[in-house]
Amino acid sequence: MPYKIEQTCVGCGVCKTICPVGAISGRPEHVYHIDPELCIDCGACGRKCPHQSIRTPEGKPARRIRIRRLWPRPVFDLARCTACRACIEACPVSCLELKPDSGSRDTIRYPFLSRGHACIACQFCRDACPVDAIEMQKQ
Amino acid sequence: MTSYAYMGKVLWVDLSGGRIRAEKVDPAIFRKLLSGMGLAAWYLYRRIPAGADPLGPENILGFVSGLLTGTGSLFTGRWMVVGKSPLTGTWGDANCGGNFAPAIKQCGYDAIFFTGVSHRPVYLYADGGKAEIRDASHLWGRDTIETEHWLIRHHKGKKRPRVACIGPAGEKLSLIAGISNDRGRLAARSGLGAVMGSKKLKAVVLAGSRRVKAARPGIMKQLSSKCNQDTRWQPPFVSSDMMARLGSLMRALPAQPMTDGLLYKIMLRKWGTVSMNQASIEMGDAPVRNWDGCNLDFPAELSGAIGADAITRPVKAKYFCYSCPLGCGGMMPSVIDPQREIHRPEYETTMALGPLLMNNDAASIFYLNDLLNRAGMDTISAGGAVAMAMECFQNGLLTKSQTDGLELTWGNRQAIVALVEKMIRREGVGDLFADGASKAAARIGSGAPEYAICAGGQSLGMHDSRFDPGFAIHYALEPSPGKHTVGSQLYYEMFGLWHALETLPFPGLVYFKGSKYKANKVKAVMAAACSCYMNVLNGAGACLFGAFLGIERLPVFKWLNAATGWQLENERYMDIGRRVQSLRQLFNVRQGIAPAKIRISRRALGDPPQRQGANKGRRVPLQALRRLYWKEMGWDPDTGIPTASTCKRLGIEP
Repeated sequence: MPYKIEQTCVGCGVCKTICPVGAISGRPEHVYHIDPELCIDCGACGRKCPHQSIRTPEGKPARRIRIRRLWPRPVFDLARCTACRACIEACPVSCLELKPDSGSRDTIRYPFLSRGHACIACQFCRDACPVDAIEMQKQ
Repeated sequence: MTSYAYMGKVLWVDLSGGRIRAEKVDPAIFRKLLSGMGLAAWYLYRRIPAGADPLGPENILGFVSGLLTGTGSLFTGRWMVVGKSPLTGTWGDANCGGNFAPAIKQCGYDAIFFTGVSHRPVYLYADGGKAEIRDASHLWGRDTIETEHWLIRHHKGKKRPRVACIGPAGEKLSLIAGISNDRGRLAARSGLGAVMGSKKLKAVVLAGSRRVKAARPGIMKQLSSKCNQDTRWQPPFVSSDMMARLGSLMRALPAQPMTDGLLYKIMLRKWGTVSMNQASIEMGDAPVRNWDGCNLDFPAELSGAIGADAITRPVKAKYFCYSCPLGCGGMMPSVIDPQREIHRPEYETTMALGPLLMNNDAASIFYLNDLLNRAGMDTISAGGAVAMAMECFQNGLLTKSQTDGLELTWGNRQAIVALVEKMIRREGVGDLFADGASKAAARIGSGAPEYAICAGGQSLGMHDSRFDPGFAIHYALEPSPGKHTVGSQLYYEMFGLWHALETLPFPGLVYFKGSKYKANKVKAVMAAACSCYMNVLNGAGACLFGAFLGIERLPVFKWLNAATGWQLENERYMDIGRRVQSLRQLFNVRQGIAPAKIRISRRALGDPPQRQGANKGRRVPLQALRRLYWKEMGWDPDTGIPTASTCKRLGIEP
């Protein structure tokens, strides 16, 4: 079930710029459209839309968080983390990486948010973590 | 309807015509065969015509992901490449970790199949939306690490792509070429890199972001957390010399205790697969001097230089495949390009380039590991080919004038390196060995085939079937022969399947070693269980080393039910494994392979038996075991062909 754009859309195009998979198309000042085949349900468009014109897959209006710096971001509990990289592979904008620690055969490279500005707060990393080592924290 | 665990589509890429199309998969197929190996068997059995040239347009090369990959399970990041093997002429598959398995599903597919042959080098680029064939002429000739690096650097989308590619070995159609991902991790066996090279397909680049959904994500995580606890428990440890002493002790004892995979897990977490280097040599598990030598020829004083501590010394960090909590890999600086990191050699590589050739020089093994991974060539088969060359040289079947001046004496590291370099370039004598030991032996003729230690044309893995006769069954009788990653007595003990399946026998806490060499029904039942279970693991995308933890610690059946929403009993999953095994066997029959004619080297069966060492006097009664195994699988005990009643019971068309 993909996200949808309502008729209240003013065609500002902000949603299109943040969509990580290029699922949104449209002309300025016209109602934009989300291709349901491409949408990955990350919800970034809904958090960004200044007119709250986007509906979640459940049909509710998506909640805007006006300042992107305040969007929730992943925080890692390294006591639980297995360094399995499931979070890194799940991230649609590749903003997570393994720390480039270098030591011995016992050194473990744990994940961290390497490009915080690119994070779209989709929670894919949290959902993908097999051991619940990621929490999305408001900034 | 929402599909859980699987994506429900496969992508077909016709490289001759440049056409790409997606095909929906009937959900019943997943329930019948799972994904991964099973899904591949379903398509390849039907769509590769009888007698297809493995290096021709009719062969299908498939990249498949597992049913559990991406669902919140652990140890389930294995992808497989499948096709008709140009090395053995049989069903071919190779399995690899790294980061490519989730990438297939994130593009919205459970598998990507390539047909036809391109007239110029190309690569496939796919994300969740588009799939395109792009020019790869500028990448042709580059090694695997360079190729991957270039492709990641030049696809600057929001999502960083994942890459599987071939190196020069695959391009030059070496029949022992593999396919690489994540900086030189190879899906090495069956020669499928040559199939990719024959199709002029340099790489597959995937940058999808789709989510894989589990039907019961909460249960998935509960099961994973428990599995993680078992994996992370680790006692303090001493040096790797202790492993050699443990191996010597095991050799001396007349009886053998049942092995709990938790012990192996502890060693894997500490050192990785190389933990067993010295213990395996001492016990008689690792073949020495082309399977003609024994532990006495390569004692602990020699093997210490390639022991676990020595091989892991340059490692800078542990390496974890996708969704793996164990981290048995290690990253070290590249010998060829110190600016980059490579994977440290694994057990199989160290043994195939070490004691098999009487070489105990770790530096040469590091170099060859780097070289072969970059070339995209299977280290086991490369070692097997060099070992055969050395034995031919020793016995006068090859002279210095025929080896381009190389003195192929045992342990001559300069000659070993030079021959492998020539094999990769297909230059001079290297061209003779670039297609593996079996093909080279056939060209040399005379007594050479005796020195090619193979099954069905593929060099055997580095586990001596005279030490564990279970390996002989799977080397010789699997639809994809020569592989060590399916079953053995040891594997059966570690899988612990009797905990989940009441009908399976408990091997006993302690048993006399001699009992391993008796052909009886119990051996066949255990071997068949390993075959079926591995098909389930390969359908789920699960890792063999994870499975060594035992079914109680790696809850594959429970994960499968929670991920898909099915409620299948454990026995039904084993039926699925049997169905996949039978389909793969039928694939071989359709391709004109008579199972009874697949040969394994006599030497690997102890014929004649060794006169000294750990496996002294050991003989594997394979003929008797073969009949019992085939019967247990529901196949004709004389021909190895699945019977009509078995096909009917399993719901497959012969």
